[in-house]
Amino acid sequence: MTSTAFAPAGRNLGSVRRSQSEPFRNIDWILMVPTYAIAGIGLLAIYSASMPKLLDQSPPLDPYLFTTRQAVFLIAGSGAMVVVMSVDYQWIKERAGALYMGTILSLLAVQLVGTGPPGSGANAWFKVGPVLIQPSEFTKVIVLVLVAGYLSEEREGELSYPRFINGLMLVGIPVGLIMIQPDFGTASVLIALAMGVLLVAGASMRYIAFISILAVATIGALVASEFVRPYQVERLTSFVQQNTKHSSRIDDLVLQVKYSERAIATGGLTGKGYLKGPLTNHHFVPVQWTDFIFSAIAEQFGLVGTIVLLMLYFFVLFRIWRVARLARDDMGLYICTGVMTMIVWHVFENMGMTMGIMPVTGIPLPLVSYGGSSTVAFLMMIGLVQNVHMHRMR
Amino acid sequence: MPADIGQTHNMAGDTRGVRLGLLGVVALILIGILGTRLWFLQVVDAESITAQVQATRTKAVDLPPQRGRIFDVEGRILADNQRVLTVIIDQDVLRGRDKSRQVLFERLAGPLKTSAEALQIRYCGVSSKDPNVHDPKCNGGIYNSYLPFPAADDVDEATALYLRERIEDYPGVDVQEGWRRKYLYAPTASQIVGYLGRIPENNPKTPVNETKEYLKKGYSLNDLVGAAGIEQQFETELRGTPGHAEFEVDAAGRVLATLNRTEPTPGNDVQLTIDLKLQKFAEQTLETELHRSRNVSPYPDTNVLSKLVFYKAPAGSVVVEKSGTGEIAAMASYPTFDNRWFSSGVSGAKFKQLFPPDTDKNPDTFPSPLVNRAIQGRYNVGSTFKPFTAYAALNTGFIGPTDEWVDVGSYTIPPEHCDPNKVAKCTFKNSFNFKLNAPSVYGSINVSNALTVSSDAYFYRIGSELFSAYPDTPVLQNEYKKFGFGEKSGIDLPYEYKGIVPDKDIKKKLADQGAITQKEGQGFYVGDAILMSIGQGLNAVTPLQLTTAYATIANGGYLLKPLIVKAVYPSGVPDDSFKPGYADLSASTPEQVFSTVVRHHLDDVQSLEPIVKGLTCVVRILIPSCPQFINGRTPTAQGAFLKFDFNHIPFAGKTGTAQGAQNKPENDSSVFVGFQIGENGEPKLDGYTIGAYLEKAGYGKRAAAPVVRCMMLAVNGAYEAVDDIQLSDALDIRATTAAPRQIMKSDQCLVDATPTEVTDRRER
Repeated sequence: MTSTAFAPAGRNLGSVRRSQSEPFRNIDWILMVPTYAIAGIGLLAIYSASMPKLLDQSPPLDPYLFTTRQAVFLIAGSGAMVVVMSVDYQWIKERAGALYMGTILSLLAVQLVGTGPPGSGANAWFKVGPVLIQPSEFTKVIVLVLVAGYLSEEREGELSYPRFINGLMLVGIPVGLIMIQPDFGTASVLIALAMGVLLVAGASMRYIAFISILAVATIGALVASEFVRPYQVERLTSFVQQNTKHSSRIDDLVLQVKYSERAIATGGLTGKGYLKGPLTNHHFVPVQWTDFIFSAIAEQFGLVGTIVLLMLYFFVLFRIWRVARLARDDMGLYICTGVMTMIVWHVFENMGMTMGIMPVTGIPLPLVSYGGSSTVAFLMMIGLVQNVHMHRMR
Repeated sequence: MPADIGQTHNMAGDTRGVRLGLLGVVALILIGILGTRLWFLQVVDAESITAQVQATRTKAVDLPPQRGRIFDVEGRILADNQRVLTVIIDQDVLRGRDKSRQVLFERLAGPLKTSAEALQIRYCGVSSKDPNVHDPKCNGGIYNSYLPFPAADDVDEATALYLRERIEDYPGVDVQEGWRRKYLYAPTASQIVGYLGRIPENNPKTPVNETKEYLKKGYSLNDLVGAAGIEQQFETELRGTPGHAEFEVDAAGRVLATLNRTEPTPGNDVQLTIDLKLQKFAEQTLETELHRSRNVSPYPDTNVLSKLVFYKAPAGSVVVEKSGTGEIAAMASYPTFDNRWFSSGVSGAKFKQLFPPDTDKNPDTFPSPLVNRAIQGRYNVGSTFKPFTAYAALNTGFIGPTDEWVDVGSYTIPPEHCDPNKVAKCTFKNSFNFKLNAPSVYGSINVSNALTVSSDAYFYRIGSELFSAYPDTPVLQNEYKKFGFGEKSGIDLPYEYKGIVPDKDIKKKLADQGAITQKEGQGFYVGDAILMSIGQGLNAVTPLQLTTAYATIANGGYLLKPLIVKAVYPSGVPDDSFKPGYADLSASTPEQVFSTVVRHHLDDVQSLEPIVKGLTCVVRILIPSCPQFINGRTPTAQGAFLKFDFNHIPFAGKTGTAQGAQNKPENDSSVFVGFQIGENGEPKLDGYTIGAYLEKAGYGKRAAAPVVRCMMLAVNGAYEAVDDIQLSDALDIRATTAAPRQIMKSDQCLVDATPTEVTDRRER
């Protein structure tokens, strides 16, 4: 398979056909609508959740501080999305190896020179001037392209065993590095990505079963070796551990989940109204505007709001699923599959933890949670899907 | 190539399409789970959780008022307040619940930066270290068991916020705002300022239930109240009015709304008459002289005991009073303490080390630092009492100002008045003189001379004969009482001792109390009158009483109430923006000013003249009106004031030596009172009267006179080495004494006044 950066220019085909296959005439605008609707809800929610805390500082800070920044992130992400859309994904594929090496190096480097939020103990960020960059967010995009590209080279109907294993390895290395940070949330996203793509790529059910057992065994081993903190297990079964030995970190998490659940529940059917959520607008839930933003939405807009948000995600997923079906080749299919899997997992894990049915991990709600790296990364993923859609004709 | 791709795609189309569909189903299921959970949370459980969150109750809280501050006369802030946050725990979650208490303490240990064991000890006392052993006595230890247990007294804002946010995880725990007392210049004036303590537990022996009295006034049992000094005396002014707030709280105790709130009214500020600079100098001087005395032997070098016996000089006091107004400019008592100990939170054992209990048993070794000897000392004041005996004789017309009487070294009671059943002896000798190796003899003297040389025999005679002339009327006692002896001076400090002017009734009372034998208590006899006339016997006088009595002589006959408080200001006196540690009193108008109170005006001011004349000559020799020798004997305080500039600071004074146990010289206590007079001996209303009493420090001239000399210079601004006042350093909790050693910048004023050799111990 050959690929060209700007394919139409090199080909001498009829003008009608050319105009039809012109990539930028084939953007899936219907996918764009729910994507940006979600981002808009995110901006509203970030403002409502961060404003009281910013005003509460002395001296009070600009209440729009985080909202403005998130808007800047969205613009930057949109730019990144356009860049991703402007080249054929096959062109990216050929450079995926180099990008992959780069991301592995950045994950190693972040161990050495990275920083983290005070007290978190995690080294997951690079400080570049005033901006914190989280390389693991971009790792998701790059691993996606590499794995999709690698698996798409399989010629047989069913995935061969070596390719399956190699595919696993490609995901396994960054997963290991991210685990060390430790950031189990992002690691779980990569695992979900691998499972989704491998499933669709035709891995036999035995392989899928194998990888599932492997994942469970790994978690079991980690728990047994106390590498995973106890609360991460406890969250799975019980989210209120009143009498555990005192640890402020566990306490924080217990509280976060408790207040988050309460915020969601007291939102009821129609919510308490924008900026009228006593629990989420009055800083009972820490880091309200990042990982726990869903509870702010739920408290203020109620079931109506949460279902609308859920439907918007569903709509996005549906459109990606549709693009996957239309993809011109396996790589396009796998890209869409991967993006879909990751978004599903993000939404499920994030909303699930705010409702106390999933353990607390620090993964954001796509395009809603405040955060530059994740916002840019998600828009790049949407860009990849658009890329597949734009090049479906050839 | 497109065909190639299409072929590949289509070839796998079936399985991949199915698998993509499968993935879609998984996504649908996950979204379905989220939707279901949302439904349950926001629809099914919404009501009950909302009810749980919104379940409200009313919580009432007392808001402690900011206590009034205490200033010295210059506006130095002696007692200030600092806002503190206290972590309290509801007793219901602690009492009798060993296991859950232990769990709570363990969880609190982290945020409070202490250990569970320390909290357990704080709660139960040292005995209950092991939380697994149920201790029935473990009921909050020293804390009232019906009020919340204060787990930590001074936590930072972050800790308070941390606990408040986690109110559900710390059942019964709350953070209370309050105030902590700060004494900026401690230990200076600690005795006067006093300290705060918990409301005393009811003592069944006292007629008044003190605890109930406090509760009646609206205190709660955990409140701190003034427990000594001005803090106690002016509790009502200083306290302010507590505020009150009612909050609507949710099930967890989180505040949802304020229902009503009455802000506390801060207490009034109290300005003392004390000048801290003089106060500090007085404390330094007193302590320095006592320490100096401990290196001095009461015996002449020729005596073998001179190398073995030294003055113990364990304690003493100094009072500096303005003669014309009664204002106390300084009042020092040694030993003293640092009043910050009482809020330092040191352990009970440490406290016992600092304030040894049972000091009564050995007052010389462990004199109690808590006793303010200036108002609580129960002293014989020796010869300093003689001027009042002189006044009694002059006022009653028993003697005239120029009448002469021959002192032969002793006085013998006329046989008709000397009943051997009532009097142990009939002849009373003058005190022993080492140089003469015999009692002193003064020859023919008038009342002024008698005071100048402090003739005992002269005053024995007055006591004896006045008593015999009016056996049924307490003439002497009545005259003494005109100077305030035997009654409280009324100074605004707690626990003032009223003193004793002995008479028949008091002797009987003392006998009933067991202080004297029943035989001795049968009546007041001539021997009692004789001892009383020279300030010995059952006489008991406080240094403040003595100083105030001399101020009466100094101001021309006005017995004043000594004032320690100058004014009470409404709260809100601002800090001085230029001088840290000072309040700007000029920016505020006092609510109440304490003006001079005349308790009594002497009917016979004329009789003071010969007394002042005699007392002037006690300290002055090189003026025509004062004799250099009387029958070869020098005036009693000569030597102590040789270098004193009387031209600028004229004053008069009297030495006293209070005889101690077994009449041993090392047990003599040294007394001296000096008062400023006009150039011609007339009353000086803007002058000072200064009294010093140094226990077991020798004869009057030896220890007390130098102290008074230093103070006399200092109050007149004539001594350069007076320390400036500075804000105190933090309390040194490693200290082993209740107060650090006070050291004078220069003890030259003491050195200049100290007799170089032991000559005699004449005056009493």
